[in-house]
Amino acid sequence: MLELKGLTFAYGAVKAVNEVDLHVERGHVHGLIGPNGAGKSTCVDLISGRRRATSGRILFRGDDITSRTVIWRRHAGISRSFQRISVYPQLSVADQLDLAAEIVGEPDVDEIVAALRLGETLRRRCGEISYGEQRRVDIALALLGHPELVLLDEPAAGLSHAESLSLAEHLAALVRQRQTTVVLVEHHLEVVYRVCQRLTVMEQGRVIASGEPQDVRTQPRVIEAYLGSAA
Amino acid sequence: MTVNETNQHTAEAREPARTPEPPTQAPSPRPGLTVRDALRAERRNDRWVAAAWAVMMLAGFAMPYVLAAYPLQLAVQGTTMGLLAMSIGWLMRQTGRMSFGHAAFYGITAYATANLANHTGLSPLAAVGLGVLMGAGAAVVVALLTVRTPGISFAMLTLAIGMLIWVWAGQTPSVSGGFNGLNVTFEGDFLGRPAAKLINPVNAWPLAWIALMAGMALLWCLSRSRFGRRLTAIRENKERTTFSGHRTYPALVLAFVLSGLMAALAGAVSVLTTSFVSTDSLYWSTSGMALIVAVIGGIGSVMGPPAGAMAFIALQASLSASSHYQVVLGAVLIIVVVIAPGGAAELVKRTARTGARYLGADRHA
Repeated sequence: MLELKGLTFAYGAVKAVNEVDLHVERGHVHGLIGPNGAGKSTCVDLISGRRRATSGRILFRGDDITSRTVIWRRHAGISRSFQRISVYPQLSVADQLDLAAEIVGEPDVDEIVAALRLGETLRRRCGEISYGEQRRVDIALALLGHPELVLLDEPAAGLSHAESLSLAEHLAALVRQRQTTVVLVEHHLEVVYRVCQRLTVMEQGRVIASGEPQDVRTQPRVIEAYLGSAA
Repeated sequence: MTVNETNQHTAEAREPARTPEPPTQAPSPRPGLTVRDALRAERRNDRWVAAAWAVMMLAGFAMPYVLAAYPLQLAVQGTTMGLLAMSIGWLMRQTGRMSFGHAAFYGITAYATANLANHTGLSPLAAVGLGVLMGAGAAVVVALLTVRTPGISFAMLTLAIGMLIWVWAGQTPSVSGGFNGLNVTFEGDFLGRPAAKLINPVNAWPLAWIALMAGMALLWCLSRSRFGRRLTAIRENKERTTFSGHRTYPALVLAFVLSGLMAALAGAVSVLTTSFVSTDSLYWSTSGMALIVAVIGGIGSVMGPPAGAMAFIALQASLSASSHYQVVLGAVLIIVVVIAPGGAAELVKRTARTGARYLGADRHA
């Protein structure tokens, strides 16, 4: 479904993403973890088209999309949410879902509304609802139009432990139902272990481990770099 | 991630590995309220607004029977300025972009109409139609050049382009009449009435009023449409709008052109009702004054800028013996910005809400 080959992104002399190779299987939820500054969000930015790669290639369904625009990628089926919530504070929740659904041709917005429990908020302005609800609106906007690949950048950031787990469960059910492939960047490891079939760990722009979650988490390099010596 | 944060996650990481499992909780059942229901509910009051607009439109036609010639002349001026203020205010509200160049579309239309009427023998209607097209055409060119630029840069670009046109007009007296302006001789009828007689406010008022109300209706409908909401979305969060798959540039260009078309319409009404156009109409202060009255009236409502324009014209006339109206205008602007940044329209809304609460409390007492 998605393949990164030698993907590199440099800010001047600093390589935020350095020769990253990644393979994401269709229908999988693929976790991308690592300490802050590891290059996870930059990877998501590169895949979604927010930033242009310095070198390397991004293959989506076998096609090279490295130089494609954000809009092309969205219509091709690549969608994303943002680390910092990205919604429209002055528009009602219904308005913004309707607008986004119109352009990507989502036939059943109400399915997403129900799955993410946004029914009660539909008539309220997004700036007036809670942080957790805004986070779910952000995710709903990413899920509209049955994208084949959804990039979720820290969807549980700022949520309580219970909210995070609840979100993970609903999200997992929804993506399974819609057969969506997900790349999930997340620091909340319980969420990651709950929903991910594959895991890639990054440190200082490089991939240091990749595989099944239960295998990856026991690797000494991963424990040393991210999970902690006691893991 | 800090060491402490890493350690917090360490405890979670120690939990036994879990393969993905089905959620313990199924997605919640469909809510009673659907997106379509919510949108319909949001637009429930629209029919009342439309009804109020229709009543106001009809009531406006009674003005020549109520007002004497001079106040009616001022009211005609108010509609012209109101159209220009509405065009600038609508653009600002929908896209967050503040234009100091709309006087160019206003002036280009007025000059084009004047020159076509004076030199080509075209009917007044054809001259006005072509004049408006030329004004809107200029808006297309300026839009293509400027709308990608956000914030203060956009304001400065539109100001610079407007001033270029003003300087060119001043140095081309064969087209503009120089800084003395240009008198227009309309020959023939305009919509069934002799165009030359539109200089009489009694004849001019219905035309000016219809133009204002039609412009207001168009912009109100656009604001309520998906296109209007898309513009709001671009203003609020351009990046998210792009990531939702919307092309923002064509939408911004179209918004600017529609707004420019309103300014062009104002220019057409002005030249028809005064038979005169001067280079002042192209000067930046024409845009600036329209912007000020739009803010005083309130850009949050389509009706705010024309209301501000009417109030400004009345104030200017009542203090015309001195230059005091500028002091008063400045004071009003300060008061509005401090007390009600949404302008007079916001004050009216707030008062209505307070009144409704008071009446509701009184009923339940």
